[in-house]
Amino acid sequence: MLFFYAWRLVTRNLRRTGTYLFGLALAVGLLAGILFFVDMTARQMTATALAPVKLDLVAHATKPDVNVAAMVPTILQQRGIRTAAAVVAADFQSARKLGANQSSPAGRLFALTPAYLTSFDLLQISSGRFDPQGVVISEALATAQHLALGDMLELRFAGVAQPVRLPVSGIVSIDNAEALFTTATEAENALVSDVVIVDQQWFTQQLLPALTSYATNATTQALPGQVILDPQVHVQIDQSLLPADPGLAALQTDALRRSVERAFPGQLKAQDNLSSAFKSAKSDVFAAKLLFIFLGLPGVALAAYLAKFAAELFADAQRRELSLLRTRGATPLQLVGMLAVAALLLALVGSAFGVLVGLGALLVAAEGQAVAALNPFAAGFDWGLFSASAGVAFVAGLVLTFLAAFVPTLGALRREITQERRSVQRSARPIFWKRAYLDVLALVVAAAILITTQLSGGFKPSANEGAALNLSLYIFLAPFFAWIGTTLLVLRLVEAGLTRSSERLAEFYRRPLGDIGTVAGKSIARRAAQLAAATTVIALTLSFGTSLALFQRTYALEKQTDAQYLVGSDIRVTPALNSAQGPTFVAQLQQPGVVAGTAVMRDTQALVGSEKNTVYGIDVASFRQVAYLPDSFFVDGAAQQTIDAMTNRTTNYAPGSARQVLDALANTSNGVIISVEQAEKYNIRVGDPVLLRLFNRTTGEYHNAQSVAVGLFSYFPTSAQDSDFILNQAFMAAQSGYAASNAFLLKTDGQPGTTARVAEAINATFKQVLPVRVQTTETVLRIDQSSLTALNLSGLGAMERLYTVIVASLGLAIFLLAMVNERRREFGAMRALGANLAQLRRILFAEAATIGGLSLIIGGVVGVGLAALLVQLLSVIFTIPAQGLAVPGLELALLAVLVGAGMLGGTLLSARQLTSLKVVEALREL
Amino acid sequence: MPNALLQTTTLTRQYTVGRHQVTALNQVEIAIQSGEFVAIMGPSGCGKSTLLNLIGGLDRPSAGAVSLAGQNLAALTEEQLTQLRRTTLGFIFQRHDLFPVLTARENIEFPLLLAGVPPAERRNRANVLLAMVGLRDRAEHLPDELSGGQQQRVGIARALANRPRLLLADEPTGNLDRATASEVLDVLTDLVREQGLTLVMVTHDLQDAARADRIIRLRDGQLA
Repeated sequence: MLFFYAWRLVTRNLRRTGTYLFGLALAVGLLAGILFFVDMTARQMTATALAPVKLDLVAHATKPDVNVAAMVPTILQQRGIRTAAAVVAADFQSARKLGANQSSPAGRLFALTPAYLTSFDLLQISSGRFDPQGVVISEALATAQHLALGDMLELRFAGVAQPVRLPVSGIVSIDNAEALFTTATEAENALVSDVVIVDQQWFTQQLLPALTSYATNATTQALPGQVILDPQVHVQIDQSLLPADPGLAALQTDALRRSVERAFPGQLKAQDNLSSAFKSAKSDVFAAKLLFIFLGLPGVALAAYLAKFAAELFADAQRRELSLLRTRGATPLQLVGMLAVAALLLALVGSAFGVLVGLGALLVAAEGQAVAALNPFAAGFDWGLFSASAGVAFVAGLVLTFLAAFVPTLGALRREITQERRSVQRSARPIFWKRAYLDVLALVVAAAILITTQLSGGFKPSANEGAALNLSLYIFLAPFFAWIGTTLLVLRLVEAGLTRSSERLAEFYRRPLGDIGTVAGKSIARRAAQLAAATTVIALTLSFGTSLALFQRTYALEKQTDAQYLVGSDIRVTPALNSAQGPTFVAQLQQPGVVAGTAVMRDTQALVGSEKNTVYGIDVASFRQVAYLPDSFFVDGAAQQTIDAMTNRTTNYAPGSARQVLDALANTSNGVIISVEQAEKYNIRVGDPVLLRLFNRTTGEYHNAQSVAVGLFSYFPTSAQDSDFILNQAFMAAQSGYAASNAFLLKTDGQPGTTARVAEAINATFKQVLPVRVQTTETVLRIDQSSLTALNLSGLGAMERLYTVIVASLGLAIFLLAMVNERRREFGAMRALGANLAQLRRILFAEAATIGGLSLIIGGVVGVGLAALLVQLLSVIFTIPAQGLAVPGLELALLAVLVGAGMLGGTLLSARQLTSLKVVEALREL
Repeated sequence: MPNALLQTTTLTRQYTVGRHQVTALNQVEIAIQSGEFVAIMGPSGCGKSTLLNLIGGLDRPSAGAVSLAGQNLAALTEEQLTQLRRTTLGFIFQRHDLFPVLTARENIEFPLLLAGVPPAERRNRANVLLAMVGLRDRAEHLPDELSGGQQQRVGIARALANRPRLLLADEPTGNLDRATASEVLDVLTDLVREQGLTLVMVTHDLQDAARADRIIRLRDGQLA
C-alpha cells in the first residue's frame, strides 16, 4: 500500500517528475562523465607510459650453465604471460670482415630463436633475413666494417680457441633494443652498438659448450661490464589483463615477476621493466585526476544546485499532496514512509539515468577513443574501475536526492505545512555567511596564498620521484578559496545590487515593456535573493565554460610554444657527436618544403672563470629567418628596470625584442648575448667585457676569447637547458679553431604535414649514410606524452561546454518554472484583476533578461579571472610561462550564441506554462 | 428583469472528475440590480464560488448565460473578458491575494496601471483609497508587514481602485477573526453604500450575510 501511494506520488505528474529526474541526471551525469573521463585518461596515460617498454620482464640465469630453454614452457603456463623466449647473450672480443685488416672492438652476440623477431618488437631487420646458418649484424657494425649481405664475418670469443666465421645474412636496427642490454648486475644498461645475432640452435651446438666451460671456470675473470655468458628468459606480459590503475598494475606485474622467480628457485633473477613506467604513470595519473577533478567539480556542484532547485519544485507539490493525505487520516509515520519510498524511487531512476548521461557525455567528449575504452566486451575493459566510478556517481545521486528532495519535504511536513502560506520569505537577519563575511574571508585567504607563494618564488611542482611532473595539492588551494569567495561575493553583490535598484529597474523595464515593466522591475528588486541565487548559478556555470575554453586554448598554445622552443624551429637535425658537420651541411638538408635553414655550433666545454658553460655560435642572418624567436624571450638589458631587477634578484625585467638583441649581436663581431640568469650570476651588464675561454681544437689548449655583452635573453631557442652564451658563428669558429656545427634548424611552411614529410625525407636520406636525429615540434610533443603537458584537456573542455549550454538554458528554465509554479496564485489574481497573458509574459521575460544578462556579464568576467588564475598556477608545467590568455574567439562566440539560444528556449518554455494557467484553479490553491 | 446589472439564465457548470460528470451549478437564474448588495450563502460545495467565478468571467459556463451590463459574457473573447474585468469588475479574495512584492499603495495602483491610468493619477487615487480604508500611514509597507485585517482592507481598496460597477467578494472575512472581520466588513459596506456600488458577496456566515440587501441561497448547485 505504501509503495502504491509512493508510486502515485511519483507518477501523478510526469512532467514534474521528469523535471526533477532530468535535473538529478544532469548532476550525476556530469560527475559520472568526469570520473569516466579521468579513468579513460588514466588508462591512456598508463598505456602511453608503457609504450616505450619493449620488453616487459627479463629473467637472468643466476649461473651460466642454466638451461633457460627448458624453463620456457613452465613460464608460459603462468596466467598473464603472453609470450616467453630463451635468449643467450655472450660478448665477442672482436669482429672483422674476412679479408679486412682492421677489427672492430668487443661487441655482443645474442642467440635467438627465429620466432623471437616476430614475438618481441625489439629488433627490426632493415635488410636481408634471419638465417640459421648465417649472422645478422647491427647497422653500426655494418658501417664500421663495411659489411654487406653475403660478406663473411669473423668473431673471436674469450675461451673459444677458433674464431667463428659466418656469412652476413641480414642487417638489423637496434634503435628500439635498449632492453636487450639489461644485465643481471649492472644498475644501468650498457648499450653496445656492435651486435650480432645468431640462431640459438646453431649457438647451442657450436659455441655454448666452450663458452659454458670458460664461464664456469673458477679462474675466469670478467672485465667490468663484460658478459661472458648470460642465459636469459624474455617475457612479455599480457598487458590487456592489467588493471587500468597504474598502482594496481604495478602490484600485478611485480607479483608476476616473483612468480617467475619462484618457479625456478635460485636459478633466475627477474627484472621488471614495467614497474618504473608504472611508477611514473602513477604520479602523473594522480596529478591528472587532481587537475580534472578541480576543473570539473565546480560544474558538478552547480549542476547539483540545479538538481536541488528542481527538487524544491517537486518537494513543493509533494508537500501539498502529502498534506492532503494527512487531512484524510494518514499517520505521520505513513507519510514519512511514502516520502522515503518516493524519494528512493526518484533517486534510483535519476541516478541510473545520470550514469547513462555520463556515458553519453564521455562519448561526446572523447569521441572515438571512448568507444574503445567503454567496450565491455574488449579484453582490457576494466570492470572494477568502471563500477567504482559509476558507483560513486550513483551514490552521489542518492545522497543528493536525500538532501534535496527528502529532507526539505520532511521538514516542511513536520512544520504543519497546511498552515503555511507561500509568500516572499523575509528574514530579519542575514544568513550566517553574510554576517561573517565568509566571501571576503575566502577571497583574502586565496589572495594570501597567492601572494605568499609568489613571494617565495612562485608555484613549483613538488618533488616526487618517478613522476614526469607532480603538482602539489596546495596549488589548488588558492583557486578553491577564490571560487568559494567569488561565488558568495557574486551572490551578495547581485542581491544587494538588485535590492537597491528597485526604481532604476522599474524605469529600465518600463521603456521596452510598458507600465507592466515597472511592476516587473519592482518584483525583480524585491525577489532579489531568489534571482541572485539563479544568477549566481548560471553565471558561475558560464564562467566555468568560459574559463575552461580560455585555459584550454592557452594550454594548447603553451604546449606548442614549449615544443617550438625545444626544437628551435620546425625541424632540428642533430648529427651524431662523432660525425659533426660543417655549416654547408645545411645545403644537403634542402628537401622540398624547406623554406630556410641555419647551422648552430655548440661547445659545452667553454669556461667562464673556472666554471664550464655552454656556448652557442649562430649565424644571425640565417638564424633569425629560421628560429622561433618571440619578443617575449628577450630582455632589454640596457633598461634601468632590468638592471634594478637583476640587482634585486626579481624577475621584473624590462621587455626587449628579438630584433633589438639580434641586431646588436650581428653588429658586434665579438658580441655575446647572455641568459639573464647567467648575467645575474656573473654580474654582467650590457656593454661589459666578457672573457670566455674556448677550447681550441687546433692547438689543443684553451684560448681566451674577449667578447662584449650586447644583449640579454630569458629563453633562447634550440635548447631548454643550457643556451647560456650566444656568439657569432664566425667569431666562435675563429676562436675555437673548429667550424663544425652541432645542430641544423630548418623552417618549413609551418604546416604539420609539410614538416612531417620533410622530417621523413631527411630520415630516409641519411638512414644508411649518417646517424642523424630529426626532431619536429610534433615528435617533441609525442615524446612528452607521459608528462602532464601532454594531457588532453579538449575532452573535458567539450564536456564542460556542453554542460554550460545545458545548465545555463535548463537552469534558467527550471528557475523560471519554479517562479511560475510558486506564483501561480499571484498570477491568477493578476489575471482576475485584468492583466492579460502578454503582460504576465513580460514580467517573466524581464526576470529572464535580468538573470540572463547579469549571468553573461558576470560569467564572462569571472571566467576570464579564473582562467588567468589557472594559467598562472599551472604555468609550472610549462617551460615558458604563458604571456597571457589565448582567446578562442570563435569558440566563445559560439558558446555565447548557444547559451543565448538556450536561455531564450528556456524562457519560452516557462512562458508556455503561463498560457496553461487556469485562473480559477490557481486561486483555489492553498 | 430588463434593468438588472447582472442576470444569469439557466446557468450550468459541470466538471469532469475522472470518469464522472459533476454538476457544480445547475440551471441557476438570478438577477441583481445596480447598487444592490447581495449575499450568496450555502454549505460547502454548493456552488457559491463557482457562481462567483462565472459572474466574474473567470470561468465559462457549460450551459446557460451570464449577462453583465447588457453584455453576454459567453460571447466575449478572452481578451474582451480581461478588458471587462479591468474596467467593470472588482474582486476581493478570501485571502486578499495581495502581491507580496508590491507595497500597499502599489497593490492598489495595480488595476489602474493595467487600465493605462497615468502614474500621477494612479498615485492620487491610491492615496485616497488608502485614506478611505484607514491605511494612509501604511502606504509603503509590503503585505507581510501588515496585519491580516490591514491586508484585507488593502484588498478592498484595490478592488475599488478602477471604480467597478460590480464588486465580487469571495468570503472576504473568511480568514479573519470575528472582531477584525466585523471591522473589515464595516469598511466594505460603508464604501459600497457611499459609492453606490453593486456588491455580490459569497459567505457562509449568517451574521455577515445579514448586512446584505438580499440573500441568495444555494444548495447542491441550485437555488434553494
